[in-house]
Amino acid sequence: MTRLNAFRWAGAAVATLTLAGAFAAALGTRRFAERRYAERTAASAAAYLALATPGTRGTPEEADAGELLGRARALSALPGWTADLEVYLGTAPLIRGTDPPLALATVAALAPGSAPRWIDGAAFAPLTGPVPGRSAGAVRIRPRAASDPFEPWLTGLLGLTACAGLAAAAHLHRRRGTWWLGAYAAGALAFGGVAAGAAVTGMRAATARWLRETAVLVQEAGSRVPRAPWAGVVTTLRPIAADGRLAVDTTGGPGEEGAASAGPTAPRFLWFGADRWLTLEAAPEDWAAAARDGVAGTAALAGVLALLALSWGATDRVPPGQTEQTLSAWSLLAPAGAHLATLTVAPLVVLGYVAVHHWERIGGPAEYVGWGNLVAVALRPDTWAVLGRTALFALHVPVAVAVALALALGSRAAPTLLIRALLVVPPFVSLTAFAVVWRLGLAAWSPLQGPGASLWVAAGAATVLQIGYQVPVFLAGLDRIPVVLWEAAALDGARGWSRFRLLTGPLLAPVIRCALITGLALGVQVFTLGYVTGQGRPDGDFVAGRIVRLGWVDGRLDLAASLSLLFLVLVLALVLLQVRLWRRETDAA
Amino acid sequence: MSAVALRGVTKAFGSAAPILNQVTLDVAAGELLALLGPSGSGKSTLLRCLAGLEQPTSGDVVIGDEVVTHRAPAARHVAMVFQRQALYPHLTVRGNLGFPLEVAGLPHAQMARRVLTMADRLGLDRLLDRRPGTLSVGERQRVALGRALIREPRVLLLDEPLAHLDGESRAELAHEIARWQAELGVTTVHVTQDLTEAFTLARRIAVLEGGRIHQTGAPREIYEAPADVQVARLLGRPGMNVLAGTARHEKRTTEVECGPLRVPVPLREYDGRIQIGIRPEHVSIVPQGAGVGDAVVRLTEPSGADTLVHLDAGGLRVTARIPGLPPIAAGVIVGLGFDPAQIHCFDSSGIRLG
Repeated sequence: MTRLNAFRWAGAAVATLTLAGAFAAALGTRRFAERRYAERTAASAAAYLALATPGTRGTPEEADAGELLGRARALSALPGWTADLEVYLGTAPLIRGTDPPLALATVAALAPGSAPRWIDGAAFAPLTGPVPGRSAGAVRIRPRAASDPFEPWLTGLLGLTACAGLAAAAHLHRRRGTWWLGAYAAGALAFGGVAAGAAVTGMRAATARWLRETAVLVQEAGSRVPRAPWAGVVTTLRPIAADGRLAVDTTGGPGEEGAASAGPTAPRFLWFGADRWLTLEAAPEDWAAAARDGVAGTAALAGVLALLALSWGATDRVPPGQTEQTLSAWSLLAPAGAHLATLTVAPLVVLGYVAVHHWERIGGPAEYVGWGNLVAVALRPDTWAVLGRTALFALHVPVAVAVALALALGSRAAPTLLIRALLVVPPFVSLTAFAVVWRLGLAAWSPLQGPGASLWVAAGAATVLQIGYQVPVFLAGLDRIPVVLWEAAALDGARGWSRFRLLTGPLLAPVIRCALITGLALGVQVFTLGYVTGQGRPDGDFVAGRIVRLGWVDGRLDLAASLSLLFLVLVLALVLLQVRLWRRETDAA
Repeated sequence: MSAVALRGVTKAFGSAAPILNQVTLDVAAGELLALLGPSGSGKSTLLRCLAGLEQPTSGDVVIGDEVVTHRAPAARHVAMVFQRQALYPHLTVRGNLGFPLEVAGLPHAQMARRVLTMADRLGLDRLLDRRPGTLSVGERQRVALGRALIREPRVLLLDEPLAHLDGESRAELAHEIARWQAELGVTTVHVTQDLTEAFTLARRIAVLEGGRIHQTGAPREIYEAPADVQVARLLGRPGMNVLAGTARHEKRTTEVECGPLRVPVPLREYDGRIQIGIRPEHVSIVPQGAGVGDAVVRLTEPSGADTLVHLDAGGLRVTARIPGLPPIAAGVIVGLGFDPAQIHCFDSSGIRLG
């Protein structure tokens, strides 16, 4: 590796790593906000439950399970309180009774009266029992990530910035490198901005949500405790505020202006009748979280700076090396490769997996059956009837191609705009429009009602559509034949058929092949036309329709997958045969 | 072998000025006529009218004894070699040579024999299974020639077939065409912009410019006695010097006054506006004051065997071709010597006098 290439690799690594760091930091801040919300809410909920379950105070030894269950259920359904709550009495879940019990390790980690703990992606707070110093159970709050409006932006910007960063690294010390570095810097700035914005709003939203919901809890608990003395109420209710601050308001209420202008994270005023107000305040934000925001915002920029430094450092100029060429080739292939992988290869794998299992639509995957489904499908006589009908239908493709070719040749002889337009219009008439015409009128016409008629109707409609698709293709192909060849042929005496046989045909052969292959590939997949003209009658039923019926009407996804595979194999064999024949023909010529 | 004739052929596209304007041309049976003209003069259009690829707006095309103006190209039994790219790319050399025979429906055995004979005569026998894309430009034109000749046409039309060839192969193929034409005796019209090519190939040259035939005749005749100013300028590289002036007839001699030059011309009686022409090789450099006038040397173009000296005589541009490498530098004032026997006179509209 040359020195410059080493610099380029380093640049690519720096760009990738800093971006990954920035992205992780941005996501981490969002998660951290959710976690903060869950922990606070768990503490508040535990305090509320301890307060609002008088039974737990009544009996000396054990918490009153019935009372606690009722309270817990009521809490989870409390309007305005949206947290994902589970209450454990001992280790037993109360709200969703069939859930697994609380792990003993979790119980051990929750010292009575301690701050909430974050265990396995959920916040646990100890539930104070009747006996001081002993927990009666635990409260679990799971963070519920709200749909994040920043996420698509973050991901999109990340992708763009990464591309720009990699391009800038690859073009280190070339003229276009500056351009890419600028693009990378702009991307990193935008990404940092969005990431920091996402982090800040995440923190604020979590705080605001906790404030809103805890206010509800405090109000609710307040209705259960004796109101006198007023100062004692605050002391009783204070644990619900967790790490926030609950205090008697001494300013005499929010006042009209205060109520109107308060932001979502401003202290909340809670009214307890007469002139008695409490204020609920959130704990100040964590500096750690703020620092993370900073990292999220600047990590990408650090990458830009590092790349700038590298571009100063890279001093020798060399032509692109082997590795770089390979890398750029693969990166150019990557989008198409991803497309192929996700839309072709992955579905095929899934299809194969479904086909070798017993798999019903209701009930899902069951035991492995191997070739069983394929054999079952292959042995059904209607499978071959459907395949035959589809093959018969596909015969319209050569006809359509031949007619389209003839029309293109004809319209070349008389190339008026009107004729060309008329030939090209049919593809723009949608199948839906055809369906409407069919349903409204044609279907009732008696010659089109006999057995097997809908197959021919579908083939006819498909022919018209195909002609419309193919004529422009052939016109384009004809336009590519140099005029001088036509003139030479005219002088040599070739006209009409002999000219087509000896000149036009062979020169158009690649176009004709392409039209045939694509036409056949589309033709055998026919679904809409069969659906429109057949209306469920078997003679309009083609393979695609049968696959859908097997899978989604009969509910046998495994048989549908097997039929798909069988069909795929047959079509592949056909295409391979075609290609092989043509290759031999080309070799012979 | 058939004579070819154009009778007052005019060809115009739309309302634009006609490309061909009342062209009348006769080519004797078995003759090779070179049609010489600058690009855009209409010579390709003329050839296409002959071939039937274009319909003349008016006038008639006659091949042999028949008027073929409205006949299809194939029915005229003419063959054409295009400038380039006219071989069928999907066919081998064999297929290209055999194409006209296959169209004509010849039996395969006979076809193969004729293709082989033709390939042998043209030296293409080792290329028979190659495609046009793999051949050199010269080889392609050879194949095109073979394809044109294989069905023994009545008329052979060559549309600048040598234009894209380089020096040696060009001369070689030009000679070959001439030999072939003589051997087969096929009436041939060869379109070219290249004087050397026309002189090499043809016994008779027609000069076409601006859609009009300006002169028809043997190469020497055209070169030595151009019918008008355009022909004079067109032939030779560089073309003839043409100077406009005023002729004055005094006693027995006529003298033309062109700017500072006083040129005696061999005209008996002529007065008024006149144009005189003299080829660069007939202009000589003489001591100042000794010739027809003085001129300043603008620049020189030495090429070894001779040197082109571009001169300025009071605003008139004169070019001289001096043998060898004369010691003349730009900016020097010299005298101009005109060989009196080589002075051509044209009237003010450009038509040759005397």
